[in-house]
Amino acid sequence: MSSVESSISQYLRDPDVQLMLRVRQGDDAAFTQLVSNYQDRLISVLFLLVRDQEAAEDLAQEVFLRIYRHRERYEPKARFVTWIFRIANNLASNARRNKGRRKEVSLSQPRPGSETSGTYSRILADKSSLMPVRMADRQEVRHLVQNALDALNERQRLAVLLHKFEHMSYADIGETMDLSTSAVKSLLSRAREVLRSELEHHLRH
Amino acid sequence: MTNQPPPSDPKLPRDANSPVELHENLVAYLDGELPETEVRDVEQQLAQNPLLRRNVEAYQKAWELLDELPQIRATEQFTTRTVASLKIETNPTAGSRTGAISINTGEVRSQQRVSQRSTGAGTTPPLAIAAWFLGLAVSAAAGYLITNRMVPRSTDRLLEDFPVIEKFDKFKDVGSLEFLKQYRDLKKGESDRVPLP
Repeated sequence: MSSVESSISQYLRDPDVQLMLRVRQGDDAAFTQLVSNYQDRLISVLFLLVRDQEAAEDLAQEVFLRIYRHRERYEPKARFVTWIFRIANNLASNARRNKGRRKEVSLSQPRPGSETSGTYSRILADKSSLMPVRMADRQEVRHLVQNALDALNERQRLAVLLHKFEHMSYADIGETMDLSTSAVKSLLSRAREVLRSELEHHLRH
Repeated sequence: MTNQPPPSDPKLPRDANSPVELHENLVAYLDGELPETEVRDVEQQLAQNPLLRRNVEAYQKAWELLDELPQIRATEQFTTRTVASLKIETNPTAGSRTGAISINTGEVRSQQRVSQRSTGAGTTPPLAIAAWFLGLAVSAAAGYLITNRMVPRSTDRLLEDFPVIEKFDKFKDVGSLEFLKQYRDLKKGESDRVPLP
């Protein structure tokens, strides 16, 4: 067995790859299952990248549309999670470039009155069982952490989010972001230093 | 070593004696990504260097603070919008035919209700209110007719027999039907006669 065949058979054990192969065969229920499995995960990471729920949902929707459009040409050459986040990363990068060309407000800055502020309010409202002082403290911490995340460059931010929330290994992050494992190691070590530096004041208390 | 930060990078570890490699290895150690052979070296250095230990603790605490970031979920309209887009792509003329994506219809229906509420499409227009009242009036009329015409009432029989009841005393005095027939024939004979000038 060649190394390519061996790696493909390794990915075949991935249940989501199995679902995608069923999608390739025309099984729409399998696609629905994939949407269900990944919609929250994608939107959550994309939201932290672009800071706008509507933009995050638009990007996630485009990811699913692309997958569906190209389903007949799908080949299991990676874990499904790395493949789908790779598509998401490419789309987010394109969106950022397009925004930059149009000289519009940066995607990472929430628009006044956009969904972002509403989302924060909603999340805070969900915590209504907490005492007001405690809620204010939490809100402050959340803003600090969000600002620390914003201090990272885009590649560092994505690597951090994939590692933290998708529990991806360095190798998987490298595959998603088209980087070597050692480059990911370097990227994450610098990202960690930025985070520590940004949150240092809070960490001392 | 690739992607080494420049020495002037303010984000470098403040321990000037810490080489970049050591810093990267510390982070990789925390992430469980360090090869077993290098783990022992890092642990040895941590045991000997309190500043390194503090750095590692700070990295770890900063990492844990990321848990405070909001975890956003897809809005309820997301699935509906995605499915609708796919339906248009797969079959622009007839979304419900074979080949179109479908999701649990109950879920979609509830999502559509939410969507309508959020867009204001669900607010009741005056025409709908008028239709509702018209329906109510038709139902009431139908109910009245059904109960009035189809269900017999105790008074119906009395009303039907009212002409008889009204003259019951006279009929009682007459006594028999035979007498009434004779009386009728007699009256008829009288009226058939040509009146005298």
